[in-house]
Amino acid sequence: MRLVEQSAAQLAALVRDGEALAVDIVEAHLEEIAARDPEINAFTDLTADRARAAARAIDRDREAGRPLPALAGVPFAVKNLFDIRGITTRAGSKINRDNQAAAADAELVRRLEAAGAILLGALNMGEYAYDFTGENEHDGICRNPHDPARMTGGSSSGSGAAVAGRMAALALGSDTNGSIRVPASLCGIFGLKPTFGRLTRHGSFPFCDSLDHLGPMARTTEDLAIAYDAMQGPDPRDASCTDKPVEPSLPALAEGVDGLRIAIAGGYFSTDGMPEAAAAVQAAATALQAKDAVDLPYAAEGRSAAYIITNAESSAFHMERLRTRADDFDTDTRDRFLAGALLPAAWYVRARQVRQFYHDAVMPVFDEFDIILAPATPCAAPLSGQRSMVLRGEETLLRPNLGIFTQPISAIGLPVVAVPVDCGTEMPIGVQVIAPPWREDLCLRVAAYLESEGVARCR
Amino acid sequence: MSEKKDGAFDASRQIAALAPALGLDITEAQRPGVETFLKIAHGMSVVLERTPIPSDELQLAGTFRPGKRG
Repeated sequence: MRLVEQSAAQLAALVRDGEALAVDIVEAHLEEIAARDPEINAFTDLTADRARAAARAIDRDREAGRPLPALAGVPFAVKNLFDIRGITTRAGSKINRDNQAAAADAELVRRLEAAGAILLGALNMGEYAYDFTGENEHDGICRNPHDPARMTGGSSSGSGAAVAGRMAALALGSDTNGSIRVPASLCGIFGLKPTFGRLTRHGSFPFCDSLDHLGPMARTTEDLAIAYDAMQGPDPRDASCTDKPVEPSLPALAEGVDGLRIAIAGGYFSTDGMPEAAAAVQAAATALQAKDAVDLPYAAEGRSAAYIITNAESSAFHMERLRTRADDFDTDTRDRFLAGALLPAAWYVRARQVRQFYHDAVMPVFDEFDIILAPATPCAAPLSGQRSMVLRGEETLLRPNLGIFTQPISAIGLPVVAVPVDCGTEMPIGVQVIAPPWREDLCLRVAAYLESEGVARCR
Repeated sequence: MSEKKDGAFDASRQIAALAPALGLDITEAQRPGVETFLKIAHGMSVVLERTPIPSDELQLAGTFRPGKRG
């Protein structure tokens, strides 16, 4: 049995049942990182000593007969915008390397560790999270484990690659416009972007306060659910974090899809001219017997609102860095940040207004349907370095458009699971399983059903 | 703002007008990229302007709470 191939749930069970030691699980993953990561480049920092110490403590607890938490012995890693005590939070940048090391862990790191998970290190990402490709001038390109010539997607590139490449059982990413779902799709794993406000962002480096979400990435739906349940709960230090109590998703995970009204997003989300995305949506829809198409009204407007809000807020946040160190930015993010600094305030206010308008227009759709299926990306992983793509017959910039289907969903904070669909494509590709606000449980149930039917599968 | 007489968006005028006010020095190497992304943003703003929101409404979702209709 190769320990690195086991899911988080399986690893925790092995430790709990005394069939594997946490120290052996950690060593197996560190060996896998040493073997694979020189090519993949998922990790920017390793916390090997910390991981070994945590593993020894878990093994001691088991030996002493103390109860073990749900993720005891499960190795995880985090996008390097999460604070890790003693490590500088670089957020994919060169500039942040001048900052002091973090004094404390991000709250979600703390919560996963409280659940027994073991931190292996920090992961590569697009600079300041403004990226859909996985390319980074400072830390190097993060490569797709299924074909190192191809993109991982971003900006949670290392999170996608570490999980797909069996270097971590779980990873945390952030998603402002699609940065969990795009790499999940391109790397062929599961990713949960919860409802906006569900998981605390305390101790993470911001990108765009109005739209930033954090969430888990994993090789099974069950692992997503366990990690998600362990991370829920209020946190007054994040103004956007909900006061809702923990709403566990795991108990209902295997309840299936009977009674759920599932529709396929049409209109803006049409996959015409996108054969890989079309195959993925069709395979999921067939398995779920979803035949109804539904329009998410004003999706293009919602996407535009997200674009402007992101561009304006992030650039204002980085204004002083843009004034003094513009050429220390990654070339591919620098010019977008500079442009964002020059947007008229009226565009930003209008974008905020449209965001609310679009939200109010979409909500009635959930009176008719419980779940909406949509493509996650317009295509499977492009080649690294590719600058443009053909989208519905038009040559267009690749960088902003890999997230064309994810951006309108996060714009209004809907919960989504990106599901890797086995649909005959050479490289993996995912679909989005979207639910109304605060119903992550439904997204996860549907994803689990697709997995149980053999339609969704991590390669 | 930054529109030519024919109504077309002029990214270079926008840069010239706003960058000095913000203390930003847009170099020649940066300018083509900045113009490209300003044009994309302008295209997005056009989409936003045509959204049929009543002219007497202003709801900006201060702290955004999904599920609560504005």
